[in-house]
This record gives sequence, C-alpha cells and structure tokens, in this order.
Amino acid sequence: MNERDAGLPLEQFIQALTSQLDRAQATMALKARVGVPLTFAVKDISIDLRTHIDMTGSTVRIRPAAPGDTETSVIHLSLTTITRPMMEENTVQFAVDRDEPPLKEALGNSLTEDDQKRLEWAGIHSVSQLRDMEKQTGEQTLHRVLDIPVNRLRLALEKASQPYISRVLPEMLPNSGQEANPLLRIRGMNLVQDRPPVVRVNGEILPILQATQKNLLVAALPHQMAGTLTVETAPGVAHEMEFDLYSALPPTAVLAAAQSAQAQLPAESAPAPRYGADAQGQTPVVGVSAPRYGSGANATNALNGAAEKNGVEAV
Amino acid sequence: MQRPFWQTLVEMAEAVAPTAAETGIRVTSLHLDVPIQVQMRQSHEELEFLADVPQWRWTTDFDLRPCRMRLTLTERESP
Repeated sequence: MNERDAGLPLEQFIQALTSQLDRAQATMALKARVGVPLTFAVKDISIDLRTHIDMTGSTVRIRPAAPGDTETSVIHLSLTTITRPMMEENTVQFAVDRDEPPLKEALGNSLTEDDQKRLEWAGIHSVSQLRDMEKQTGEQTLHRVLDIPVNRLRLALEKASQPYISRVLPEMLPNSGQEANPLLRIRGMNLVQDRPPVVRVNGEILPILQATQKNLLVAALPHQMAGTLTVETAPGVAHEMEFDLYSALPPTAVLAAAQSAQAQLPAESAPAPRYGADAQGQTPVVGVSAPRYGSGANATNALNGAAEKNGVEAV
Repeated sequence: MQRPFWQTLVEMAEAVAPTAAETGIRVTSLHLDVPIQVQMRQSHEELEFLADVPQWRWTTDFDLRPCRMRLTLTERESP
C-alpha cells in the first residue's frame, strides 16, 4: 500500500470494500443470466479488521496491521444488503440545487477544510442548508456543536448570504411574436434581500419585472443581451457575471441589437428610452410604453400571467 | 499473493453451488466464519481491497495476523 505510513481515510476504505462487494454480487448474478436458475448472493458480511487508527485533523485514517504488529485496534464492520427503496429512504439528499454554488466556492477561504468537513458531518452540503441551520439553531449552537470558531462561522454565514448568479437565460413572453426582444431570466440565490435589487448590464440599469430569492426577470434592450451583468442587493453587495446570449437569439433580434447599439452611441448618458424610472432614478420600473413586449395593459397582463405561471412574486 | 476480495467471495460461493447438481441436496444459505488476511493496494489510481484466507495453517512473524470475517450467502433466483 502506497499510503501505508500515513494510513488512508476510513471513507476511502469503506468505498473500496463496498466496491469489492458490488463486484462479487455482480459476478454471482451473471450466472443467473446464463440460465442457472439459482445463484448465491451475499446477504450479510462482517469483518473484524485489525488496524491502527489515526486522526489527521478531522479525518479518521486507518492502517491495516502489518506483520508483527501486536497492539492493534479492531474495527468491527457489518454490512448487509438493502433494497432500492431502503436505499432511497436512508440516503441523504446530496443533490444540491443547480443554481446554488458549491459550498466550497461560496465560502471560499472563510472556512478551513476541517471546518467544511465538520459541516458535512452535520449534513450541511450547500449554502442554503447552512443558512437554514443557522436560522433554526442560531450561530452559537452551530459554533458549539461543530466546534468552528465564531469569527470564521460568522464570515461563512455572511458569505453564504451574498447574492450569486448561476445562469442567465433569454425568456420570451407568450404571444410576443418572433420580432420581440427576449427578457432576461436570471437564476441564482440570495438575489433579493431587504429591498429590490439593482440589476445592471454593462453599467446600465435594467427594469425588474419579477424578483424572488432565486429568480429575477428583467427587461433588456437588444444591445443588452451580452456583457457584464451585476445584481446588487445592497449598497456594495453585488455579484457580477459575464454573459452572452446573442448566439441563442434569432437573427432578427441580433440585427435589432446592432441597430440598438448604434442608436446608443451618441446618447450614452441618456436613460433607456423605453422604460420609465422612479423619482430617484434607482430602480426603474416597466414604463408606460414598452412596445417590444406589447403595449400598456397588454404587457402588464402578459407579465402578470407569466409571473403566475412561474409561481414567482411580481415586484 | 492475495486476491481481490470479490474473487475470494465468489470462490466461496462457487464451492457450495455445485452440490445441488451433484448430490441433489439444495443449499439455501451458507454461513462462514473464517480468518482472512487483508491488505490494501493502489491499483490503476484506485484503492483495491485484497482479502484471502491465510496461506498457511501456522502464522509466522512474517505473515499478516488474520482478521475475522463472518459471511452469509443466500440463494437468489434469476430475475
């Protein structure tokens, strides 16, 4: 064994053992496929493993006893076969929402590897699970149970509540026609906090049509289908993402984008003409005239309909 | 040279399986309590669990001290 001196993580050992059992089961099952009516299958197995046990940080490592080793520990492993329903019932749902960043990416260096391992022990594999646990138990309980220093835990929780953009998708309104410019569907998490977010593409503020924690629907002009997207949920708290949707647009929309970009050149500082803005000019709302999405009441009805269909809350 | 654990298990099952055809006695389950020598081996970037019955009746200081395995095999009908 290459890692003889350091030992190997117990998880790896159990994986290696179960992989051997699976292979044995598969081999014995093969006989049934070539016409033998009965075959054997492993039902239960237990092994008293003579080994040395070490802890490296929060990782349990084992080293099988070598010849001459006398003072060894014994690990008693019992394995049994389970059915698919039992497996599904007893398996923790590890599948993390596609729009959630991996825990490691979201928390960055705020937690050490050992801290993250302790979170996994507590069944926390995603940012939303961490936030839920904090809401249910409180920061102090997490600190006490997981033995993670309060300052690191606080930093991690702060990072876990920052906005995150995972995807940007074009979205057409129903009955909007081929010529219409698509809206932008922004997926991610923590996209709304105490106030509606400010969404910008290349620095230009876009009107928000719907906003929830995981979804934003914004109206964009044809020339705003690519560039740097910023979602700012509080002053100085924002997430940025580069995106390009032109390849997903129909040729007419790309042509419109080119024309729109030309039209923007002489009046870069002017606000987007198709939408109105509120008194402070901070959070534009859908204006009285939005010809690309249908006009007046029709556009509003269409957007409300889309909101209901998507089960999201309209701003 | 120790074998991968799966080979040892399959061979133990195979040792019983032919009895049905040869003697007419049907074995429905098998319980084994045997000493085994285990080792881990890195093979093709994969960790492999090797386990086999001891090669000698008397263990010398150069041999691995055997572990204990209790195994239950049961009949399974073809799907």
